Amino acid sequence: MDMRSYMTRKLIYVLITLFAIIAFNFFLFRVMPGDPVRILVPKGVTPEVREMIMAKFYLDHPLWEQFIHYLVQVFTLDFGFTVSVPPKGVPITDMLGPPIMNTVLLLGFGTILATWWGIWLGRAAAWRRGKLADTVGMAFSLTFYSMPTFLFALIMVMVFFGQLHWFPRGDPYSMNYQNEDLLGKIWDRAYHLILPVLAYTIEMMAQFALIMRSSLTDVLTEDYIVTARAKGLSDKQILKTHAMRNAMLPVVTVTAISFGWAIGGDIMVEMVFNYKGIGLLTWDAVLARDFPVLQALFLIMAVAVLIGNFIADIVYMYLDPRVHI
Amino acid sequence: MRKGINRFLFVGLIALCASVLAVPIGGVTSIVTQASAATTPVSTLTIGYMQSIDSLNPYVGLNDASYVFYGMVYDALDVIDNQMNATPDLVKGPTLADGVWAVPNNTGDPDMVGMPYGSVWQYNLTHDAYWSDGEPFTADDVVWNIWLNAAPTHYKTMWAYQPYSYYMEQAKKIDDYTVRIYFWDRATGEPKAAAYAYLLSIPMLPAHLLQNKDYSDIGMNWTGVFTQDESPNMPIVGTGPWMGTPSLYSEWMAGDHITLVKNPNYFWKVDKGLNYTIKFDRIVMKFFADPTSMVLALENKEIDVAEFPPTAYQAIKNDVKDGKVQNITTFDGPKITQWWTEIDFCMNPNSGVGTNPSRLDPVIRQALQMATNKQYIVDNQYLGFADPGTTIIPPINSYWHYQPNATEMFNYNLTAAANLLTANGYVDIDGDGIRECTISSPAVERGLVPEKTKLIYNMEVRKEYPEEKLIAQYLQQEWAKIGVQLNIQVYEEVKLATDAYSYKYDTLIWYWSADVDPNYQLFVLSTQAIGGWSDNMYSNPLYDRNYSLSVSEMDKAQRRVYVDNCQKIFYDDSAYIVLAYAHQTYAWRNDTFTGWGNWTTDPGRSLDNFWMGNPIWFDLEPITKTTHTTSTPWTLIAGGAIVAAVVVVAVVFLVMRGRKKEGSLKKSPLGE
Repeated sequence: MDMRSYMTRKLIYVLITLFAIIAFNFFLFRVMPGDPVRILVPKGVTPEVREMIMAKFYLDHPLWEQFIHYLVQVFTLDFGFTVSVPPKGVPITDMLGPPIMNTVLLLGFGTILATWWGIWLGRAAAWRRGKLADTVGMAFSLTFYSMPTFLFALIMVMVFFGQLHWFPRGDPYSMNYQNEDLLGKIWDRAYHLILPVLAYTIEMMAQFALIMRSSLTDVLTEDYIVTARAKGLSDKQILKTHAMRNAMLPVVTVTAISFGWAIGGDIMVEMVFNYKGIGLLTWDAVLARDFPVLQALFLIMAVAVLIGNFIADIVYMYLDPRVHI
Repeated sequence: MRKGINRFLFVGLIALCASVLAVPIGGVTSIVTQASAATTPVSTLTIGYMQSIDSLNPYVGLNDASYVFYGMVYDALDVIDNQMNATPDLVKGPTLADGVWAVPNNTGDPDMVGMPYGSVWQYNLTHDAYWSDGEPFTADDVVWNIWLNAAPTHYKTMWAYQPYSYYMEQAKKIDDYTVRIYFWDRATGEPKAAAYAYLLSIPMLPAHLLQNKDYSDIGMNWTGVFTQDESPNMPIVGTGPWMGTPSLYSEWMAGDHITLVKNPNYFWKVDKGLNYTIKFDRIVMKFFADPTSMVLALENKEIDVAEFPPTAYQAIKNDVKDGKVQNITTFDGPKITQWWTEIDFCMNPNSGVGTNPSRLDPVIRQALQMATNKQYIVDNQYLGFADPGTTIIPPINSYWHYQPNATEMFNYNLTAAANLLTANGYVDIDGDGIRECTISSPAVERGLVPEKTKLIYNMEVRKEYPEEKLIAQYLQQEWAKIGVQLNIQVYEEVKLATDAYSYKYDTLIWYWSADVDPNYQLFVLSTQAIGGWSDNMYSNPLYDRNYSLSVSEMDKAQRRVYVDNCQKIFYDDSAYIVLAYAHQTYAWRNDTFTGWGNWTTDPGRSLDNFWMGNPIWFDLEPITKTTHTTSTPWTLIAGGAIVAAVVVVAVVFLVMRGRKKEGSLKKSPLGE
């Protein structure tokens, strides 16, 4: 199968899955218990107001018409209005902007750094298997992998904000942000990102390190590595050209899914750092039973994971030529 | 080539890391530099909240943070002063009697023919108030606001201020600065005296901008913010001491904080004298998801004041006492909003699947009241920052509070509670520790539930108030001792509010706060409030009769008799178990602002005073804290670049030195 056919097939799969997700997302929230009008307006609903609300949200139409309407809304990025999570009664599309921006910055940088450092640490540990570097590297990884995120994040806040005053306590930006010029805004955000990104990165890099070490350890015992050595290749060439390329496959899968999930935010990190991202919004929306917001969030997360997997498939093809045979 | 790129990437990475490490150094440098290079110093009072403002529309918002916000940007006809007495706001001063009075019905006034005394009130308005967009505030605004709330076609939809508007018929303009409001019995259409009319805490919204909007749009959909077309650069138009900035809406959407700026032309300076000048520039309302973050923010001067949950407050208080933190003052005392927490029993027999209507039997509720150790809750869950609750008007409102006598009181007594249930046919038949309803139980006799229905109830609590979850867990243990099972559900307050006002729940822990006149609190538990403010569908004709009399009785002493009766009846019905009269638990920095005053002797200056016109705004004075409207972080960038360059040079040097030492290759991990 050539590359074009492979990509086309994958793209069709993605579109079918996307449609299934949209349909599931629509029907899931239609079978939830409760009166949607009551959720929208807890008090003082006269019959006229009820009618008005039902019409406004297209709830007075048959289900199939509602579904068509929903499809149109999704493809025009119109997710309706927030009903119970603050800010109440505003367009969800407008409201999602700031938390998505915050989360993409936090988890995007965090995932890049975690992947990079995790691979580096895992590679170093596998290459020096059984030695001090391996022991220390794995102890580091296991410690942070098993430590509750909120605890580690809280310790970072206490030390770097509470004691040393090096970094801000949290928040996506300072309270003077709106008055800053562009450069000031970039700097403000960067300064506020450091602690949460580090907290997230150190927690996340452990899993990349563990997978990388395990995968590379297996690969290094393969026959083709012995062959390469027998051919007279240097250790560096063997590691880069033969071992790492094969050992990277499971890491690519985890990385792709992590990037997909990155849009979903990290509730614990966001809560401790008071960082208004998608994680915190999801948490609030679940507790507030704000179904339109949840519907939009689930769709965005599902689409992000789909895209992540699609990219992983492409990277697989590059790393492992057997994939598109 | 690849090798070159890798080396380039490596140095780039090191530079990136170095820049990151340079940030705190740059940050410290910038603080020093900004202090001297500032061009526009702005004094800001930053207040921390554990809730976000749920709506900028005063007809939609529900939580206290929202009401504080409305109290900053809008005015009412009259407000609460330092001593918790009603005082003029938009009505003419200096005393309340100059601005508001019940029109006498014995002076031959043609308006008053056949009208009982107290059914028409006159409000003489200030001539000095202006909307923040420059338009004058006049009688037309008052007439429109009363029409918005009270017109028969609007009343149900405009639920937010129903405790005031239920008995309002209409407002008439006498002249540009004089208004009369007519009161009636909405059920019969007859004129009716309204003793509470001296204090109407309804925020006045700008008629000139809103009168073309549909009332249901204002009551249900409007975000509370004007568009650029409607009001250029002025998203909120009020007459209040604070104004929104053009970025208010985007700040609110982002959810981190909102900024308000001083109204330079606030009319109190003219009306009440120069003492009523605001001495700082901005207020920032900062929202937190976690109390620990808020404590750290206060300790590090990020915020100036906040009210903390009991545990966090106790920690701050201890730290202050032990000298671990400096320049922080703590204050706890009865809440002036008359805040109390209660267990609500839903009185709707059709409360839906998964609920247990046996709770409608007052015997069960009284037994549960007796199985609730309020002193324990005060001591342990509120850490002493509360008083045990009894009736629906708290002791801080001492004139109107009714304290049940010894025979009326449901004291904590598990044995008596268990005996009461047993005597009424609620017994544990199957021996699983949970009582069931039997044929002789009132709940079965009244057809509320079938026989053998177990006494199992759901209890909803708010996640924003961790102490309430602890209370529910404690009640779960205590009530189990008398054979009643409690299942706890933790929700965000907005979800709990939806269930409460839909009357679809068993029990929940929530709160009330009310203004200083008893009308507000008594109204919300009356039958008239069902479908509006009533959160449990309580209805008792005897209560309603006494409430109605308390509204129309113009003699204060006689009115008190009816108010007492209402409290007695409600306490005996136990449709609420009033758990505790919670205290306010504030901590503020005393090195950033002065003028906090004494909140014990002047309770009205607490930040809890959300009824508009809080006197504290005029007394607070900044000490040193200034922030800057613009700042280009060139110093930070230069500092960061220097540090980054030094680190890069050092790393490159170390790498080069390391390469030189790589003469002999170490033992390969792939074997010899």
